[in-house]
Amino acid sequence: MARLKGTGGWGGQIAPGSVPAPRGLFFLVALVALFAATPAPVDAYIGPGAGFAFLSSFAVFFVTFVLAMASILLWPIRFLWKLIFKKRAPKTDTERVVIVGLDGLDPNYCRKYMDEGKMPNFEELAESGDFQQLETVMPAMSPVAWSSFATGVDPSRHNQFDFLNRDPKTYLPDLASVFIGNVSRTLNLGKYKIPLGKPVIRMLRKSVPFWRILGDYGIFSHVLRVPITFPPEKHKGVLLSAMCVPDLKGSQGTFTYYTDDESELGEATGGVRYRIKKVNDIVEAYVPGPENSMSKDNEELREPFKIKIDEAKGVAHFEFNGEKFTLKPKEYSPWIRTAFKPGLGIKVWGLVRFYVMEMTPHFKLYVSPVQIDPEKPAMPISHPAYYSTYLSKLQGSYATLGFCEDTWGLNERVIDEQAFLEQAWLTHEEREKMFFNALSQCRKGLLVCVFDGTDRIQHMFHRYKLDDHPANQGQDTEVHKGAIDNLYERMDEMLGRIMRITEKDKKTVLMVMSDHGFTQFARGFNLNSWLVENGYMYMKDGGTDCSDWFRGVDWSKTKAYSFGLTGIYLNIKGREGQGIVEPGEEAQALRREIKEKLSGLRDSERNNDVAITEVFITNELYDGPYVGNGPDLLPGFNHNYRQSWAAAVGKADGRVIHDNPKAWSGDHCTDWRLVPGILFSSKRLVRENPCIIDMSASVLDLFGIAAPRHMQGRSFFRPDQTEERREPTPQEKIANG
Amino acid sequence: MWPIVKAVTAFFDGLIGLFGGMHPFVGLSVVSILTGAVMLVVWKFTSNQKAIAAAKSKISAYIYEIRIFQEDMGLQMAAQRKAFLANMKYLSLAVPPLIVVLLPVVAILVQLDVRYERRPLLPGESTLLKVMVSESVDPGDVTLEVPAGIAISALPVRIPREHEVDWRLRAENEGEYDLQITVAGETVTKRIVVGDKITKIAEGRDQAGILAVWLAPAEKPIPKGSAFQAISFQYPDRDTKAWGYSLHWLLVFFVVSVLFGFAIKGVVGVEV
Repeated sequence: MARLKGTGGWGGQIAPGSVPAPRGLFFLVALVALFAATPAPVDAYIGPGAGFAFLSSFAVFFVTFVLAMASILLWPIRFLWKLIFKKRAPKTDTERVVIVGLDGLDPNYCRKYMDEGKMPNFEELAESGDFQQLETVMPAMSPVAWSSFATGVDPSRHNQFDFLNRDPKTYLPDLASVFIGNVSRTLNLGKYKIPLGKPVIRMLRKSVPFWRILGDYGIFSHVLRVPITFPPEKHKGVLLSAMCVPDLKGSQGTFTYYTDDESELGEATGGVRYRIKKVNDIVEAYVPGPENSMSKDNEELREPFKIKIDEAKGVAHFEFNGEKFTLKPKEYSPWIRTAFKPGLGIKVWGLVRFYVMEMTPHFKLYVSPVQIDPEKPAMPISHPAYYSTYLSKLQGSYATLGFCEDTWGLNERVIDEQAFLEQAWLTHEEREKMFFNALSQCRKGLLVCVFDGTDRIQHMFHRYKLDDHPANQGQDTEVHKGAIDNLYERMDEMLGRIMRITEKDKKTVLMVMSDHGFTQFARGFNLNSWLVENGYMYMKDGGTDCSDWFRGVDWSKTKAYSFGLTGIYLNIKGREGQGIVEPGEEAQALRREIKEKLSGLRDSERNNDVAITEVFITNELYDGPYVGNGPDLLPGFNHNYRQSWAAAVGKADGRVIHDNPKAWSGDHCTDWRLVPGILFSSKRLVRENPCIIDMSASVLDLFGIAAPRHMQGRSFFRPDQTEERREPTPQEKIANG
Repeated sequence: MWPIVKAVTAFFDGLIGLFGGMHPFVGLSVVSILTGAVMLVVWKFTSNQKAIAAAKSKISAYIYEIRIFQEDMGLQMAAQRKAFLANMKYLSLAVPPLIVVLLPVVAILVQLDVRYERRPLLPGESTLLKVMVSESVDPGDVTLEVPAGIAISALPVRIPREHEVDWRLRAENEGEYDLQITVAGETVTKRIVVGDKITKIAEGRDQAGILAVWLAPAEKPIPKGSAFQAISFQYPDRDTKAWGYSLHWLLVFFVVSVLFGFAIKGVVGVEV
């Protein structure tokens, strides 16, 4: 016979007049009573939702406790390790350096707006510290200049001359800063090819960024969105990559435009246009994603969406990737997460924004390039790899594409100025959040953050500053006339907030800088057409034109060619696939010949203005080990001029100089002497004529670290001393007259 | 209220009865899975999903922060503090849906409790029947009539001061029996279950209020004003083993419902 317990279910005697409740129930009641004190234990018994809440919370407490204990216990070991093995910099009066990079901020505009009282914070910083022009490098463009900023060397030493470089064997373009290769080995499994390993992603910028040197001395660096930091390199600190981070399609930004207006269809640079059909106020289409590298057919991955148009209410209801949202015309959606599914349960995560350009009579929809989702990045975009995830968790989704302000969208007129500006400012706000968060965390060490909306807005709105700019024809010239003024004022307002934080700490040096300035781009100069006209380039059909990437060029007769934004390449025997120019003296003589002909060339259609101030022979300007990777000649365009859009993609179109009708109406790819950047510093500079190459040595100097010998830059916080003085580069000699 | 309780109980009778011949945890697991699914959906519509997602993101962020700044004790501690506060916020967001699901889940737990917490008597086992009467009647007048299958194994013990009378009963055959207890012309029954199947069992029967009937669904309460205050006896604890280990049903319920909920939360699209 089983023995019965002599007590009630909860261990007590049954009270008179009562009935024993079930034991579990009592437990539950007790838990409910406990609920008043803390909800956690009750949660555990109230279904899975609350169960997760309880378990997760417990896990959080546990993990944070373990991490805290681990760091407390490891701290003495770390301290000893640093003491014994790490280099130590001598103590200086600087503990923190904050560099705010405002890409493309122009010293002339700054001076003008300061004089007008529109930039009081810049004025204050200039008065309490310093303000000078910051000499840039040739070619004066962001990937080149920011690489010099990071490494303290000229382009021939960091190997960056342009966004694009060419494969000399095929004359086809490659990204200059990064090599992204395919996975070399795959396993064929039915319709799939399973990659065995990771794709090769290799940084092509050479030399060493100064934050790595700081790290050798135990100094922590926050590096946010500095161009040409993709793929992210290891150092002591955190880094979020920027310029040249691709979108999910692997391009530098491919927008998608959907319309039922036949007149707007056709090819587009920087994007794709799709025809859509509105059936019973429903539009169904898809967002094109990357190619499916796991499929033998490499077909495009797609994510469908559906839109219900409510004309009466003037809204469009979206269904996309399980999310529902409603947009009015001229309104951006937040970042919408999407997962492309190549198969086998794998998901590739991306982010897009939707923008309804027009509801009626035609439905027009713009979708941003599909950005790599920083929370689950398809390829590393930060160091450590989880830093992008951290930022996403902390502040929400954010743009990751190198060029996330869609300049091509506006250039192709699939979005208008208002949409572009909104997009640029949305991106800027994301950066601001990152920056101020990092500023609160960086109490010692380096914080450098580059805001590039300043560059993009100036590119797209410069035409408003020049009444007879060809891009103004048929376009608004009033509504956004103040876009650039507003940009500078907003940067001033942001600087004010930064200064209020940094000025509390006397051991902080604040620098605000840009990589180059800005000028008008009213006329395009097609260097290929000029080369054809002057007998340096030939077409197979005997004509004057070739299409993209030199299709139709007769390489057996061609001596020189141009593409990208910066230069002319010679068709050198042994270097180029079908080279005909002998290297050495013949090549140098040809360089001199072209330089002579192009330098000072005038534009007969525009007041006989000088279009090219001077052409520089690269190997006379620079002498680093990678000088041969750059263009052979670097034409220095005058104000208003730049390489034409056609020549940039390797075209010759029979016109040497012509109007630039694009919204991209301002530029800086000119003679570098015409577009210096800015340098505002809370610490007074000791030396004049600072150059962007000097930034890295100057920061190292602030921390008491001598610049390594390979670095060409010199600290502008100390006078030149004999032992430190090096021979000025030819560029410096030219710049100094 | 009782008809509703009765209907709910009948539903559970039917559901768990489907798995009558199987291991006790089969039926329990089915109920746990169904509860998990239903409560997950309820959670979805009664919680602030966006705020929960945001709170979870912040917690993750601060844990990353602890990793990132592992050499900076100050930032570490700040991140710990922020993680703790975000965790508190997250827990506070669990309160509104918790309140909503509290009553239905309690009702489900009670239904499970009356089936899985204790087991019926086995033939040959004894239990002590306690009858509490009101002050207006003499416990000496209380009589007990037992059906065949149940035997009275000892003479009643009367405790007038406590208005109580006790009998020792012995189960003889499997089955469900109604004991008839009479005093002052009023007769009430008390069900006693003998056997090894999973079925609802009630240790006590009393004058329950409207809400309390939810807590004792196995047997109808004694009518208000009755001469009987309460009738009770004890069943043995149920010791259910799985893979050789004794597992409490509440643990099984919790684990199965949470695991199932976790498995389908993506499908249901719920942030928990």
